[in-house]
Amino acid sequence: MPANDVKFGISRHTGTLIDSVETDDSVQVKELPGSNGEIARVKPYRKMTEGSVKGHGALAVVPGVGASGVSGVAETGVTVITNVKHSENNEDFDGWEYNLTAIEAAQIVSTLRFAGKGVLCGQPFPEIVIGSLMPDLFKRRAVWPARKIAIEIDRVRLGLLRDFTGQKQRRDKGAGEDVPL
Amino acid sequence: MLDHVLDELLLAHLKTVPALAAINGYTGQDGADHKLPALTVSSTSEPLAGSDTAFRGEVGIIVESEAHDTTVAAHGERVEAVRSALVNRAAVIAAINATGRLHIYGYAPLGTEPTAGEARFATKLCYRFGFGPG
Repeated sequence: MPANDVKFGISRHTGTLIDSVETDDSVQVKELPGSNGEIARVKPYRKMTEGSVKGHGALAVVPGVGASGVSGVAETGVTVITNVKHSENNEDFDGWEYNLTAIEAAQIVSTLRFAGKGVLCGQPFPEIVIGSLMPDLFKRRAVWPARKIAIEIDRVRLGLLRDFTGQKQRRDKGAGEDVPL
Repeated sequence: MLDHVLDELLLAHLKTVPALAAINGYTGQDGADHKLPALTVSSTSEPLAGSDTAFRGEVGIIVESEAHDTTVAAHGERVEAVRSALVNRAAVIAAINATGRLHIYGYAPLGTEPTAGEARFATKLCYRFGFGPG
């Protein structure tokens, strides 16, 4: 009698020349021992899936946030293609391999925003936005997003986290001044 | 069966070489006794990633010469004729692909295995092909 719960071949990727698909679902656990030494409380957290796909032929996957190409992975959350390796061999077909990490509870940070007005070199300027088209405050032109942005700052003064929170709350209520830089 | 097609097309291509035209040609699927001198093309293959469209093939091209009436040098010239006929890979691939019966993605030499028996010289030239349906 044939088993009905096994698969043969690649079923989780739609590519036609896929050598292998591997995924590893994991979760970390925080344990709290009770007074008798037994574990009394547990808290699972950091649920994620790591995996890799190997194959041949055309590949559109590039490193960064994107679809895993593997069915059942990261239908919610964020998937990051961590690396893509292309290979050629002088006596074999070319091939590729990419690795992925999918974090179910994560969100993409698309924009980092210092809310409200700031003061730089004694001059006030509008908000700084990093991660999307960022206005070049000095030349008044749009610049493409960069992973790292260096801004020369003469003096930086930041408050505690609660100050940021408080400023946001005040800003939401219509207050004016915000984080001084 | 693509292996048979590869054998057949490769043998036909080699037989166009003047130095090999008069040699008896066989493929690995021929059951006939080899009449020397003989040129035999025989391949085995495995699918790429379990597909039906791309295969890796190990191709053996065997040159056999009668030892009693052939010098080692003459046998060597036949072997060299095979090797040189496959040096221009782009031309070979274009010629075989033009038949429309097979598509060759590429190939590379793997090495040679010369042997000498009492009555014959035999040299096997091994190649790896990447191929699929035409």
